[in-house]
Amino acid sequence: MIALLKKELRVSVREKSTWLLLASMPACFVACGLLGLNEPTYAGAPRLMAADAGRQLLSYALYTQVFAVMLFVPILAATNLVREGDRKTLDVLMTTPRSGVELALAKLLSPALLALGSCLLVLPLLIALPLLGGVRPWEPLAGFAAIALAALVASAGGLAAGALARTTAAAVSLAALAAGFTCLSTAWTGLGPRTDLITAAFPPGVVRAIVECDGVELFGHEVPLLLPALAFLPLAGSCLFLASLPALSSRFRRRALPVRATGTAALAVGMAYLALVVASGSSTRDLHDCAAGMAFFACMFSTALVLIERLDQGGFLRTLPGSAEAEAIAAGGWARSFAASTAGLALLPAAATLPALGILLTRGLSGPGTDDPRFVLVLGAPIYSVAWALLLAGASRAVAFRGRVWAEPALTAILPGALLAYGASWRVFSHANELIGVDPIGVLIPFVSASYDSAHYLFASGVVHTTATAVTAAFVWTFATLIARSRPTR
Amino acid sequence: MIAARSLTVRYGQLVALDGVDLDVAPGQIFGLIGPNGAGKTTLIRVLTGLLVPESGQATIGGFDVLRQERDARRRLGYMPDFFGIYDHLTVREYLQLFGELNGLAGPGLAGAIEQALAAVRLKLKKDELVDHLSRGMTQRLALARTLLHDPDAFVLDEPASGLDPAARIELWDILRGLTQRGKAVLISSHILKEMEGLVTHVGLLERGRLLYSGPYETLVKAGATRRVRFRPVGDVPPERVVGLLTEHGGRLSGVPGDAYWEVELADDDAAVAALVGRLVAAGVGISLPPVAEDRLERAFLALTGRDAS
Repeated sequence: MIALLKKELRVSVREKSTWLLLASMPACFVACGLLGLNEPTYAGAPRLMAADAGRQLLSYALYTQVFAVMLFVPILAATNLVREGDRKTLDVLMTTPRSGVELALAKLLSPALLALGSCLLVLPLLIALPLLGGVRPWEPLAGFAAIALAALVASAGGLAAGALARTTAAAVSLAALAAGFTCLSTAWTGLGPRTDLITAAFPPGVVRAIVECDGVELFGHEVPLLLPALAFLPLAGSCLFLASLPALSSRFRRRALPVRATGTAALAVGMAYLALVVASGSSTRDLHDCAAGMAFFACMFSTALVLIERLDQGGFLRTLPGSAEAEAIAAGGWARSFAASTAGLALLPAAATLPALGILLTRGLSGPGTDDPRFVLVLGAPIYSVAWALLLAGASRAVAFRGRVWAEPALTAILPGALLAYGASWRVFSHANELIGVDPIGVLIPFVSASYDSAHYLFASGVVHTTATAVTAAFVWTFATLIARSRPTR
Repeated sequence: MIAARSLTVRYGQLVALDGVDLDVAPGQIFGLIGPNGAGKTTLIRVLTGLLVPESGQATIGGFDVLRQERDARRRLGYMPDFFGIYDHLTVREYLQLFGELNGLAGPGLAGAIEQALAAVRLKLKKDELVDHLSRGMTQRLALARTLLHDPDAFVLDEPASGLDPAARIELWDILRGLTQRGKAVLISSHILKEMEGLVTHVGLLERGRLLYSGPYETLVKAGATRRVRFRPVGDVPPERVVGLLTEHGGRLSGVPGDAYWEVELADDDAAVAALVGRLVAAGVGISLPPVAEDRLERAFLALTGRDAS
């Protein structure tokens, strides 16, 4: 184990790309810290202003470090693993008397340790912050512990991406997207306006404290700023660790069902936990928000997975007609064929939301407010996710031209890209929206963005958009099938 | 030492290995030959425990590679076709890593590293980054890694691929040295010429089936013929020369009038001598071709001052 870890660190430290990534962490810290200091929010005596600046600096430092760790560590971990596969060094390691768990742990720890090493560069400055006042001496260390936790989880996510993807480009993309998702979910769950839904199981006042960067009463002490780790750990990020261990073995690379089943199960556990927390004492509106959030993440996951599959030159499996893997899939019957297909891949995130939605529905049926139209949308959310996944899979199938690697992800990205651009134009056309009463971002994900002030509008919007997406999916699938008949596709 | 019993691997309807039985005893160099896609790498991955077969069993030194993997791996030295090298480690660091992974430590490890480096003649490069080594040196380093823990069995996947003649000759010498110490070596290649003069036993793999497994000499002697190339010189008409060849059981595989004729005869010195005598007696002058396939290699070895033997 020590020998492996030593090797991992040596090899990583001698890679130029490692230093480029890691050097950006203190740079981010300095930039954000300076920005933070430039906007003092507390006016008064110099001592109080210094204390305020100290608190702000600590807050900015921890936020930037955690986000940097979550962005860069998965990329380090994923590229590291894929390179090992490409150079056959993984095969050589696996023929030594060491166990797979030892190998996995070394792979898991090395990027996390490197990132922490980089974060240590600013630790002396953080430790000096209490001198300004406003920051307790142990607070920087508590924040650093949160960063360490985030680094481990991010590394696990990167490992999972590296084990699943075949090419370095696909692994890095998958890791970056997973990292982006984790950052987004952290912002959404830990910092966004709906934090109370996700973290309802926390003691009263914790969420507000996290959002406002105040102290949290824990075990009789005030513990501040454990925010990101506390917020995102229950989500899928931590569950990726479970998925990474079996997927690490190269034996699993050619077996679609175990990898995908493990990934779906891990995601489902994370979402079910979330649903259980929300359903334990929430109103119909809370249930709807949670379902909408799950649909939102399911759609994001589907989009990312399909794009990465295209980028991975044919997917997690080499399903080119006549290949050994394609033969194996064909021999496995319809279930295996479906699991290995793009549609099967795109539908995984939607499938993972079902247990969680079951929990929400069970809670909703016996609770108050079941006559609220928004409640119907708890059921509508997975339907929308399925329609979106099929739409993407169909689009991907339609553009899967053999031998044109660049065209596949590019063309597949057109549909979600166009919709995202349309959704992003919301700010530009917000004034017009007010005039005509249409919410453009609702076209992309109606459940998330529709106004709570108009439940009937929300209901109608959801039904219309789900139907429209399903009809478009059917049209695209028909088109794709016609293309597939006229030329070989994969 | 290396054994396989009824190994079967399927990818759906494609049978990658079909009931393969194999034995490599101590002191043998077993050449696993076959075209690309015959199943050589699949067989090697099963033998090294990297791939689980649908049925059958593979053992190294009597230990099952899946159920007793640690014991089996301690007795195995494996070199994949890409050598499995870390570019950013020095030669010494690389060997130290794999020595430690194989349970060596302290003075024992240092001694093993020195011995392995001496065996592959890389002592002078021990503090250089692997990235700075030539392909031949990289390949020797990979071999040094397999030697470190003194395993009983070696499995080498296309080890001579891309090597220059001198490096290949050095590699062959090292492998012969291993067999003299009672090690079992399994080596795969799709270039049959590579195996000539090296292997003691051969396995002929085709579409997942082992068509032959046994001594090299037995294989090449069974139904073997000898091909002779010459050019008739003099006034004797070509038809007469063809007639003489046919009388002696020779089969002309080249076209009369080509620069050199090619005749296939029984693999027997007496038959060849009789034919030559008959041709000379009939007034046919005989011109022999140069050994074209060796000329470049010999010139290279002569110019670089290396010993062709």
